[in-house]
Amino acid sequence: MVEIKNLGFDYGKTPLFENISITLTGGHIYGLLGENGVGKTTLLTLLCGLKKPKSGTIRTDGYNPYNREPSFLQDQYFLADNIPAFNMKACDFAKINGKFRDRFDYEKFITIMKEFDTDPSFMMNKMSYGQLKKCYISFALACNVKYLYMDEPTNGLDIPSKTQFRSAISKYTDEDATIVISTHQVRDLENIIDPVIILDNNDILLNASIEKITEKLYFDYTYSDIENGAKILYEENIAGSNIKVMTNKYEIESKVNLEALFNAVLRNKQFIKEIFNK
Amino acid sequence: MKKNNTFDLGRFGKYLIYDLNNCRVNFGISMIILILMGIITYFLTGISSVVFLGKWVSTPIMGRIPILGLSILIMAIAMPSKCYGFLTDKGLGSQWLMLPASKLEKFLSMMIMTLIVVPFLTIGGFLLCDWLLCIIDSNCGQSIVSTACNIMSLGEIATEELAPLFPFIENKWILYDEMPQMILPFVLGAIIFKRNKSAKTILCLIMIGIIVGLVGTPLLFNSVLDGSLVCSSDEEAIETITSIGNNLILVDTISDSIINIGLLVAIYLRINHLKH
Repeated sequence: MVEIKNLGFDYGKTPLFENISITLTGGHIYGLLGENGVGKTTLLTLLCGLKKPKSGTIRTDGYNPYNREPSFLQDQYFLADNIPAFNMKACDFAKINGKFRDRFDYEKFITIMKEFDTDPSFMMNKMSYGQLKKCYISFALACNVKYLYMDEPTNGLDIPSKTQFRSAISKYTDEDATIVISTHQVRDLENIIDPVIILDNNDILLNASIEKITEKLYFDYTYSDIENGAKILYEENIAGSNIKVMTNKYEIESKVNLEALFNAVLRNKQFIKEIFNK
Repeated sequence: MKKNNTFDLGRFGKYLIYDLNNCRVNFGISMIILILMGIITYFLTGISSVVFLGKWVSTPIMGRIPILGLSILIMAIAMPSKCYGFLTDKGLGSQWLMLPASKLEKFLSMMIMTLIVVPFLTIGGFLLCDWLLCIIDSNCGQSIVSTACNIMSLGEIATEELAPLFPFIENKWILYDEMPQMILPFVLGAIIFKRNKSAKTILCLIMIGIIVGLVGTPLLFNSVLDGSLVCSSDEEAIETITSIGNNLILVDTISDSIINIGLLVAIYLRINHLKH
C-alpha cells in the first residue's frame, strides 16, 4: 500500500502540492490525469524516490521511497517518458539490469517483445522512440514488480502497439500489483484505468473508482434533450457524436468517457469535490 | 534470507560487474589509447626523426616518462566524467538511481573503479607496452619498470638525472594520497556539474588554489617573515631547514589525507542526495 500524507512539494516559490493525501491500494490500475504542469510526473518521481518531499510523508509498505533501499527498489519500477537509449542490444539490457531484480523473468521479456513485434536483438540506440518505449515496457512488465509507475507509456506507440500495450498490462501484471499510469491520452487507456485520479494545482479534484464515478455521474451519448433536473457538467457536440456528462439523479449506469469526465471535472471543480467527498 | 539494505556481498558483486561493464563501454577505447600513448609517441618520434634527421631515433626513457605522466593526467581528468558523468543526466541518472543496489554499494564500486581499477589498468598497461617496446627496440634503453626497480634495489638514488622523476621512491605514500587527490575532484565535478564537467572542475581547483595560496602562504611563513627564525650558524640553519622540510612532508601527508576524506564524504553525500 502507498500512503501519501500531507504531501508538500514545490519548485522554488510556487507550490506544486500542498497537503495532498492519497492512499493507493494493490490490485488497481490508477489513471493519473491532469492539465500540463499540475505535477503528474512530479508525483510519480516522488512515489518512486527520485525526488524528496518538502513536507509530509510517502510510505510504500512502510518504506520511505527517498531512502532508495534495495528492498524497496526491487519491488517497484518507474517507466519515465524520457527513456535513455543504451549502446547495447535490448536483450543484453534486459539480462544486465534484470540481474538486480529477483523476480525478473527473461522469457517473459522476450515474449512481450515478440507481442510488440520488436526484435530483442536490435541495438537500443538504433531503435525508434516507439520501439525503445516497447522495449522498456516489456522490461517493466517482466520485472514482476509490486509497484509500477508509468509516465505517458503510450507516447510514441503506434495504434496497433497501443492495443498490444492494453493487452500486455492486463495479461502480464500481477493481480495484487499497484499500477499508476500518468497520461494525457486517456482514450488509449480508457478500458483499463480504474480508479481515476485527477490532479489540479495544489489539489486533487477527483480520486474515485469507475463504479463510484458512474454512480455519481451519468454519461449520455444520445442527442436527447431530457435532463430531468440533472445538472449538465459538460457537453460536447462533434459531427457524428455527442456526449453529455451530468449528475446521475436516477442512478442509471453508463459507460464512462474519460475525456469528457476530465473536461467535466475541470469545469466544475468545486461541485465535483463536493459530490464525491460526500 | 532477507538481504541487508546497506551492504550485501552478492548484490555488491553483481553491481561491481555492472559498473565495470559501464566503465568499459564509456572509457574502454580512451583507456586503450592512453595505454598505447608510449607506443604512439615512439612511432611519431621515429617517423619525425627519419623525416628531419634521416635516421630512426628511438624515444629514450627521459622522453617516455613524461608521456606516462601525461597519460595519467588525462586519465585523471577525463575518466570520471566519461564513466560517471551520466549521473547528472535526467534519463540515465534516474535509471542508475533506481537500480536496486544500496548507496554504499554504488559509492564503493565508484571508488574501486576510479581509484583502483582504471588507474592500475591504465598505468599497468602503459608500463607493459613500454617494457615490450624496450625488448623489441634495445635503442630505447631500459624500460620504466626496470629502471625504477634498479633504483629501488640500489637503496639510494642511482642518478641525479632520474631521481626527480621517481618521487614515489622517496615518498611511497604518493600513490595513496596524491593519486586520489588528482582523481577525486574530477569525480565530484562529474557528478555535480551538468555540462563542461572537467573544465569547471579545473576552474574550481584554480580558484581554490588561489584562495589557499593567498590565505595559507602568509600563515605558513609567518615565522620567517617576522624574523623570529634566525639561525646563528650554518649547521643550525641546515638543521632548521631539514626540520621544516620533514614537518612539511608530514603536514602535506596529513592535509592530503584530510582533503581526500573530505572529497570522499562530499561524493558520498552527493550520491545520497541526487534527485531527478
